[in-house]
Amino acid sequence: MIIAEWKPLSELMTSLKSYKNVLLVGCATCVTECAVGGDREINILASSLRMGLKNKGYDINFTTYILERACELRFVKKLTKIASKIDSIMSFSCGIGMQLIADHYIKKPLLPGVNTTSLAIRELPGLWTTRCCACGDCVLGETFGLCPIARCAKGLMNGPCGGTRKNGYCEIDANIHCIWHLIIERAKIRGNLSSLYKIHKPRSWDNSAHGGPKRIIRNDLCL
Amino acid sequence: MDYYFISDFLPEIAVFYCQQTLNNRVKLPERIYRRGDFFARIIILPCSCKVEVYQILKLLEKGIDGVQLIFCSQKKCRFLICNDKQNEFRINYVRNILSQTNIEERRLSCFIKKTKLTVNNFIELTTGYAKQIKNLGPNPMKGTLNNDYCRMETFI
Repeated sequence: MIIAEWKPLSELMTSLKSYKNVLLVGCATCVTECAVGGDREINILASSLRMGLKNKGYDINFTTYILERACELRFVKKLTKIASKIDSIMSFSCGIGMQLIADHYIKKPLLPGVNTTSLAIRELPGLWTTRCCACGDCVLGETFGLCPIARCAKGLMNGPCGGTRKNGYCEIDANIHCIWHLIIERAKIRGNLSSLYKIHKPRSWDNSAHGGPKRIIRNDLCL
Repeated sequence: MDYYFISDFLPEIAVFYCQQTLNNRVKLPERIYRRGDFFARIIILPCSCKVEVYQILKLLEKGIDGVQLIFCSQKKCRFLICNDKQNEFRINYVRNILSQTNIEERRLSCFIKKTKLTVNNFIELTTGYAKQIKNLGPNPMKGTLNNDYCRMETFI
């Protein structure tokens, strides 16, 4: 899922000062899963912002709405009625949803409520860890299902580096596993350690963000 | 400023309590009580882990002067998933939000009880907290919203 984090409350309050009627939009998919933009979180934020701004002397009306999916136009269109009554939209969906809302309601200023950070899983309650960085050239088949691009601090394709701790954790952060340590352990379990002796050549980043904005066309699905 | 001597300020507090904190035979019905110089709205929980952050914030936003949570300790908890630590984190989370919104953190109070409470204990706890709130003064949010919660007199 796409992971996002709230912007600091002070930053949100500063960006809202010049408006009177604000719509807080959440999304019921990824940002709900990562406890940032679901119904519960939007209610927390609405109350916090109301209190904070009221104490600073700003009287702002907040309306809340949770879209089923903020990255689908047919769901975003449901905001049309509400949008006529408000003067700005603060979105708590990921960057994708925010842009779609901004595209559809051009006249309304869109304020980002979150920073979209990564593609991750919920490892434990309250703990999310990155698993993918959408690099566009998947190597999971060669690394036993563990991504060295997203999960190695240095993004090494030929690891491990010399910074692995004795307990198998990364030198950058004592709470993060060295992914190359895990890859080697998994290779041992599969009995295929020799496959890791192969040196990977420098990879092409053409298919990732370095190659410019992506545009994927599937003629079989086009109308 | 010390509000304690301002006679017309009657603190209005919400008390969430886990039903397991009271002695088994005791039942304290969910309603609004007036005792002395404060109002208390009693809310029974099946377990303390059922309190949501937004519920606490909503009460404070709508003008309630204080929120008191009365929990069992982890060892006494009848639910398997509830624990003090989680409650503590949740309380700290709310207090952090309150500090950022210029609302006094003391408006949220948490009391973890290690033995069963009698009704008298319960009333003492609530009265003690109401006194603290009286010293603190009214919630700055009181009377600022149209849908004001804090007119408890009307319910009695």
